[in-house]
Amino acid sequence: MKKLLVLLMTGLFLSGCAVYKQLTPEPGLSPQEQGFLELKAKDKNLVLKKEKKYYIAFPAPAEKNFYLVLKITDKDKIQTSLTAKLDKESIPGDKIKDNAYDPKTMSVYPVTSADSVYYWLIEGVPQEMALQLEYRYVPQWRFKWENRHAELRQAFRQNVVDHNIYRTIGVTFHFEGFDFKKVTDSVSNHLAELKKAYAELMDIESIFPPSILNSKDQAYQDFVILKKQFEAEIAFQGDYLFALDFFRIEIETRGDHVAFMDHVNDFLSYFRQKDRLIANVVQEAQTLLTNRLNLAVAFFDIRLKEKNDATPLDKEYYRTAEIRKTDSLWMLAGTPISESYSAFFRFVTSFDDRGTGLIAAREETAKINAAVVQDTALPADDYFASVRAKAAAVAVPEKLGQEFGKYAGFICTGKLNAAIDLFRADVNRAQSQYALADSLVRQVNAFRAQKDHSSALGILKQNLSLTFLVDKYRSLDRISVEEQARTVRASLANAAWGGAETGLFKLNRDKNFIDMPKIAALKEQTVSDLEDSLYIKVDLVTRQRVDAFCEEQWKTLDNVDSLYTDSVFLPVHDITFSSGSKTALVQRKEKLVAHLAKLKENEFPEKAIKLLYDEFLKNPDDSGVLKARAVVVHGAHYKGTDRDIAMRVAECNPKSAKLISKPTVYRRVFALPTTDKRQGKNLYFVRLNINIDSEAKFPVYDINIKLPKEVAQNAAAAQWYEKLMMNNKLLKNEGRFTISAPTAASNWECQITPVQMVKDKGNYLDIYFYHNSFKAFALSVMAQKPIIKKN
Amino acid sequence: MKKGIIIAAVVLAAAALLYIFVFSKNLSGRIVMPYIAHQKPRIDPHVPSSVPLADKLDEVVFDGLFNVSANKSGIVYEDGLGEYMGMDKNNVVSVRLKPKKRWHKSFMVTMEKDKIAVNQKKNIYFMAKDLKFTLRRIQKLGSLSPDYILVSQAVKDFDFSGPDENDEILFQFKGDRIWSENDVKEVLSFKIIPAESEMDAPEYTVGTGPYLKAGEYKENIYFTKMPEAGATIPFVILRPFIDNSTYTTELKNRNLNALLSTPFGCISPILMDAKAYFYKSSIATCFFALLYNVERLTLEQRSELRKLVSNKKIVERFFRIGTEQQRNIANYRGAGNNYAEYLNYSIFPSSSYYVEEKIVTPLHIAADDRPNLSVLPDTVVIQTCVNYDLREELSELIDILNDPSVTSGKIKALAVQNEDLRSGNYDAVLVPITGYRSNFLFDLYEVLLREPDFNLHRINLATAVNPSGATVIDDRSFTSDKNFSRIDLEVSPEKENFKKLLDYVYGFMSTSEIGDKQAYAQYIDQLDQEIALGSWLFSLPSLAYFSTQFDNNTVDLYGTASQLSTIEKWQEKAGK
Repeated sequence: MKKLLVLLMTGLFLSGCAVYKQLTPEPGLSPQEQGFLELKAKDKNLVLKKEKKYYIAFPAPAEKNFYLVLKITDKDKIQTSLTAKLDKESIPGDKIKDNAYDPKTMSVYPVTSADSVYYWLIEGVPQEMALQLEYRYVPQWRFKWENRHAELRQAFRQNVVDHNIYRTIGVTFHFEGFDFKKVTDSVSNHLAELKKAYAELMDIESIFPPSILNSKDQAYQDFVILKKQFEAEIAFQGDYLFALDFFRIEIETRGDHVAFMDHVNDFLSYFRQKDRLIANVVQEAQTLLTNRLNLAVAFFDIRLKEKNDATPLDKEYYRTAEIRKTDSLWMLAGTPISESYSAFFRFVTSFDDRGTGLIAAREETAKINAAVVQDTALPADDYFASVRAKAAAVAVPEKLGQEFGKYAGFICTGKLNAAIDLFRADVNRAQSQYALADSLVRQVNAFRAQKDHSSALGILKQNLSLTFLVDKYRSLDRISVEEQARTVRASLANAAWGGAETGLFKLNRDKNFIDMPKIAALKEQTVSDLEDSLYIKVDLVTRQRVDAFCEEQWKTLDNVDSLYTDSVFLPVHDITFSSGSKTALVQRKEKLVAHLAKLKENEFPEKAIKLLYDEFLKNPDDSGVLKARAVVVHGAHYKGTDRDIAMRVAECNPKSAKLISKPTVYRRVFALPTTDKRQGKNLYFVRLNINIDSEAKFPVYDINIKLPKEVAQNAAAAQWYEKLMMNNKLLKNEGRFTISAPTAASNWECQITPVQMVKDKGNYLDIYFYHNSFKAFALSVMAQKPIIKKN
Repeated sequence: MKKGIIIAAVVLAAAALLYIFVFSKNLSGRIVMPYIAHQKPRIDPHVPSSVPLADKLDEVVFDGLFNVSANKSGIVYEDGLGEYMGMDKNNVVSVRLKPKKRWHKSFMVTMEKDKIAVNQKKNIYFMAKDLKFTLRRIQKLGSLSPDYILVSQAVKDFDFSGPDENDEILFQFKGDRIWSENDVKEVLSFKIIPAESEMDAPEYTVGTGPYLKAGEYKENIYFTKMPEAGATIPFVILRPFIDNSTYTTELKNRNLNALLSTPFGCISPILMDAKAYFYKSSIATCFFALLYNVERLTLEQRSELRKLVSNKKIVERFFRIGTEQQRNIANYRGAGNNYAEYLNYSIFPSSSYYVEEKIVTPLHIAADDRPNLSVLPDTVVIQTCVNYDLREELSELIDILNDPSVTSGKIKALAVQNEDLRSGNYDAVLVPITGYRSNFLFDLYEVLLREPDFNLHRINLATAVNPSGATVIDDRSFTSDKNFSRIDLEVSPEKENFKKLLDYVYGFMSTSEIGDKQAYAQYIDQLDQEIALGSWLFSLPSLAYFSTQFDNNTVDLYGTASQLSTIEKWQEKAGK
């Protein structure tokens, strides 16, 4: 009722602007499954007008998987289609496929209860015509079965094969001369056709409504019978083909044991499914398999007999992987394994396993040994215990004994057993060496802990055959040398000269080294360096003592001479060690003594002179005379060649001439008392050496002397100098020779002119004057060339 | 007739007196000095002249970068063509040239009789190139020029850099002395001549000095002062005379008003009027010597001749000492009649630095060291020429030398023509050495290398470059006819000593080192004592007379400075 109301409302709504005009049959349409019903409008055919478009609304079925079947007269004159949607009676939805077996007169549309209504559309009406239409709602399976069951039965009948061969295999039928290909192809084709038809059946079955199952519906009953027939024949043909394949392989590999072995997986698969086969077929297969495996033993025995080494069996040549699977094959086939095959099988697998195991053991042992060798760190006490444990854990394969029967006499068996024996011996030897090493390491390490590397090396040196051990300690050679050197250096650092020398002696004589030739150079160099260090240290400490002495004593102004007899200038230690000869020792000691002499005669006076001179220059009025005299005394002990030192001494020694070598340059010189009255009048003296390069053959100079005011200030009243001597000739203020009196106006400068010089020789000007003081007077002296004037 | 003659003579004398006293010469605005008519002064500011006046005129005509002048206190240095800017620590002397200084040739001078007109021509200014040329000339002259000695001791390359935009030039002075400003100015006081000058001209007349040469009229040589600058007195006139004996008379007759040397160097009795004249003495610049002919006299003879010739006796006679006609002298130190100081005992005069400062120790022949006359020629022939300057003095000396009381009758002195001297027919020649300097620059070339010609002044100096590259004197410098002493190194038996002498002389003259000068002076004096080159007789006092037309206070003569070094400052007395 509701559906009708909807249809009515829809018709009313769309009537105003619709493209398609609804045709409404009377009586109304029923979606129930039944036969064809004629569609009329009050017993009259519906009329279609030319070029008009129409639709008829078919209600949806109550269940899914139904067909709406329409039988249409003049179907070919009009265009029809079915859709589940028609908006505003104008816009149709997707067209539903027409599954009609006879499309000229009939339309078959799948419909379902999921939709509410279907619109059958009529278009292309060529002329006004009456619509003659029958309709039917029918389940799809039924419609298909009604249309297909005859063809399906026919397909079954045409593809059934002969079952006799299969049923007589091994009984009356044997495969000699059998055309496997032809039969197999034929059966395979039939099987394919069966499966194709069977799939169609399965397709129909899949749309069975639940209500049809186990029902008495004849169509359904027919369907079930046909399906079972199909299933039985398909199973048979599968088994038949399965069996044929096994026998085909057996036939094809006869005489080729290797090829036969290559199908071992096929055989395993075959026997795993032997239950699907009938007994005679299984039995025939077992017979054939047993026969073939036994024949394979003989074949491979030949190959094994020819093998003359201990290496594991070649997988390809001996098909070891396949042979290993025959164990399961025997079992799956369900036949007792033959004794010969069993012996063969054990030998092959044992030889292969032990050969492989030997290699693995060797590799493992080699790995352990290599690790020992490669581990360059100095071993801990338990290092070799651990190595021993690892070595012991390596599984050494057992030999192949008489239990392998004839195989025990094979060459390869002998080879393998010999290799195992040899390897075992190696393992035992290594074990004993590691045990010894374990013991030695603990002793060596004990000495090392005591820094007694030499004793440790002594132990190792007695076990040089344990190269894996000794090699680990090769660095000990260097460590021993370095440790001994360190000890000596520590002694040197602590000024423990005796200890240092003892250490040096010990190191020099030490022969406990793993690789003496290799360490010899280092040892000798170390000894040499330490020996040098000893000498240098003694020298240095002596020097430091002297330096300290100098630092304290350079200021000494009184009794300076006594400084040079101080014991500080003797070595702090009398060295007895020498890596060289006695002569070398003596030479080195002499060198040291010479060096000390140098300290005494060179560096000390040099230092004292420099410092005293600097002090003197800084403040000549502060004990200047004493400092200058001290410089002179130091200078007397100075045997160096430093010109600056000599110059300083000369500057402080009034008797040393002060060189004036450049004209016009004022040079400061010191006049110092030659007498020693701390109170009262002293005679001062300064000597100048005027040696100036000149183009003249007979150079003449003006000598200008700037005097301290306290020396010159009374020059107007009394001659400031006692005497002036030039090259030991007295200079007098007479004639052409002028000695001008210094005045305040001349800045207390006195000029002596013209002073005749001897060319290219020293010209010594001695200045003597008295002064009531005891100090160093700084004078400034300059020489310049006088000039000729025209007027 | 006699009476007429007497009357005429009286009239003439009266006319003369009238001329003198009424029409007396007006020398106002003029400095009038005499010169020997046949010895015109030819000025070369860089080499000594045989005519002393020529050397003195250097100061009249030329300027140096700096001029040496004098005042009451002594020598002063004044800016000439340069201005001293300073010296840096590297002894680089900076001098700013005075670009406005004009050469005399910037003016056209015309003379109509003795009337002088000076007109400006195109200005020709002093430039650095003139200085460069002058330095090059001095360098080329070498030891012939005292300026060479002065410059070479300070400026090694005789060159300078610049001028820059401020007209400053830079001299690199040697570093062997702390140079004072006065030292620098002394070194750079050489006179500067134009770059266009000839390198070896007979004379140089174009300068920048206070007076420019105007020309000559009746042998009078006229100098007029530079316009807008220069001197106070407008003209300097040199008047020619036959000999110097008339100089004092000419001064008295107002033909002259400045007399730079008097006959005999003595105080003139006719110039005693202090209101009319004043005199100023300076250091001697002339001495007389007998130079022995070494070709004719052996060493022994020369030694004995030297003993024979007593300069003391000659001087006593020369100055008539102790007689009523004594010729009084006054030296520049103020002492009077100190004749002994003018006696020379060495080739270096006693007034020279070398004797005064005892560099040399002249040979004083002891009074009892009598000559061995037997070794001498019977007559020692001494010649001289009295046709040039110092004619009066030389004539007097001939008389003295011929006086047996003086020379024991062994000497025959006579005056000969100048040309005759070249032949060397004498045992000795009496030569006045004029214009000598008493300082370091005493000129030995003048004594030993002057060619025997009183008319010409030529020094026979030949030099060569030795393998070491040094300039040395060539032996040809001693060629017999090229020196009064007739020394010749090729033929003389005393070749070794003469060679030594030549080297010493060149060493002395070419060095700028005082020590070398002294040493060579000693060597030469010592050698002369051994080889007796001559009798060095005596120096002539240097006495200058001036008319009181001039203000005494403006005429400064000092020491060895040139007498005319302050001429531009001379002024006339007010009212004169």
